[in-house]
Amino acid sequence: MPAFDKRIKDFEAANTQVLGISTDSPFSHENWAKSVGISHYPLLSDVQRMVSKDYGVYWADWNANRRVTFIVNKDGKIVFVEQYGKGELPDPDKILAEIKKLG
Amino acid sequence: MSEEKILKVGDTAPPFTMKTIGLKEVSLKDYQGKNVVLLFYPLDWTPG
Repeated sequence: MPAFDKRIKDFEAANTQVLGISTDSPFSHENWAKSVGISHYPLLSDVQRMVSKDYGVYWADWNANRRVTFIVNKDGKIVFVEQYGKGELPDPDKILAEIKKLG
Repeated sequence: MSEEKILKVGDTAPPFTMKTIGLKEVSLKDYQGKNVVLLFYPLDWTPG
């Protein structure tokens, strides 16, 4: 998500790492990242769909992930979950505001 | 299959290790002591 890439310094300032996850290969990620301008956070490849299923975001119709954002705190607990419908995207400002609430 | 059990607030984030660009491995535990935002998205080349 280029919107997050542009704000990565704000996430770093809030002691936060951003990770993008899809079921695509690293080779696909590389092409896509170059094309849309993602270079400041890693795109991870869940090619086995294991992580997708562990987090409950597997989308069988497309054999892919649904669009969902989690915030995991320093203790490894999920503190925020947001799911998106068609055409909706995560908003970096909203996610940053949630992180700031954690203190 | 639309009733996947999505994790909720308060659940422990399951550990993972995945490959990234350059085939480097990245694990959740690499970021101990930090907050982590996980942006799950359907496929490369979809909006966002």
